[in-house]
Amino acid sequence: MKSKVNGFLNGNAVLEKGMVIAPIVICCTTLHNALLVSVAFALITFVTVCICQFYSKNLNYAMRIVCYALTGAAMTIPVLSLCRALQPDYYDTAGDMTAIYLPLLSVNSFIVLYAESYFYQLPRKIMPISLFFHILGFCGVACLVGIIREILSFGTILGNAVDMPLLMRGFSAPWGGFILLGILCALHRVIFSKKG
Amino acid sequence: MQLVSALVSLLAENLIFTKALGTSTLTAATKQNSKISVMSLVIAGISALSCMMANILFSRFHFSGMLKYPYQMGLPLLYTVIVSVIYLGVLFLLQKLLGEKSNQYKNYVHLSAFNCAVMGTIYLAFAPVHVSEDVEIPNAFYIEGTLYSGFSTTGAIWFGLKNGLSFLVAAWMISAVRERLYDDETPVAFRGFPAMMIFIGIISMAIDIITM
Repeated sequence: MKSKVNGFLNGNAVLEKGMVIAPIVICCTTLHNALLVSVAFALITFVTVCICQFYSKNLNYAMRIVCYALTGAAMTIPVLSLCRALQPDYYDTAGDMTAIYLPLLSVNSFIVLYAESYFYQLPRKIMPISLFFHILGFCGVACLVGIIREILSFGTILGNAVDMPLLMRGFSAPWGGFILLGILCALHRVIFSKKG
Repeated sequence: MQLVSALVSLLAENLIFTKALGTSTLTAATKQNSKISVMSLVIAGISALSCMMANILFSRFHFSGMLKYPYQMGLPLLYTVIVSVIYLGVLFLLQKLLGEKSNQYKNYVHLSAFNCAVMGTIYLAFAPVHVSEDVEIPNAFYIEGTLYSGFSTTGAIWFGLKNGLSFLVAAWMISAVRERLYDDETPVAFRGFPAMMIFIGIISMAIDIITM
């Protein structure tokens, strides 16, 4: 069971392996943004990795990666259309996040690198469970970063005011995301190295 | 003077420090102590070729409608197909030109093709129009009655090349301090990846303040 849930906290893809950093640093400035990124990432990655395991192993490595990327891109279309249909006003004014970072999830490291080197080495029954916990790990970090940055930068959670004596608006900038991520990685390492 | 302004531009519009695009690839390459310069040049080349191909498709073959209806018409698929064609083409050329020796370079191509640095450059150059109508982003297409390309073919190649070179600048800056970040004197909790994130954050903050 321990190996199945590996990836959620212990072996976290973002905090331990440094994967899929860009959407967290740039997009997760509020909890609302973090939730949107998490939903898009979870849907695109889970379905794509599950579908791609059925592609023929006779294809060479390069062709397989191309097929994974194309499947990810094809999945992006319905998922982002769904996101846009759910929140059209928000989606069309969210700038770089929806124009660049959400479509880029189609070629995230889970799909083009980690699927081949890790997920497809696992038995087929265990793979979806492990993938689920890895995705959950990403979503957890995204939401945590979103909550902390929203409180520190805007003094709100999901738009509701929180009593903050001092606002540090810089944390909504990319550098705030990098520094916060670095601190969270160090905290994660301290907690899990002691437990290990 | 022009060289100085080109260097400032590579920092001020740096893909890693201002947009975090390609950070995962860079940290992975730094961890493995790969030849970052070779990888950055491969990224620059693939980005430039991708932007050129996208520009030709939009301006000569009237694919620009895809920018207005990105998901209905499959814009993400188009960009992925462009990068796929270049990726397979580069691998094919390497095999033809270098034969057995090509294996030592293939890994760089595998790492460099499908990542946020390359794909992000195309999305930056040719962003969907519904977003660019309301929000100011540095994209190539504007609506003035009809769609038109703001880039010439050489402009598109330069845009791709510039973003690839900005990756190289970031890679050099990080590899210059790599040993210190992995040093025994660095606290265990921060050693390696966490220290690198904080270092990138500090450089990013400095650029943010300078360009304010």
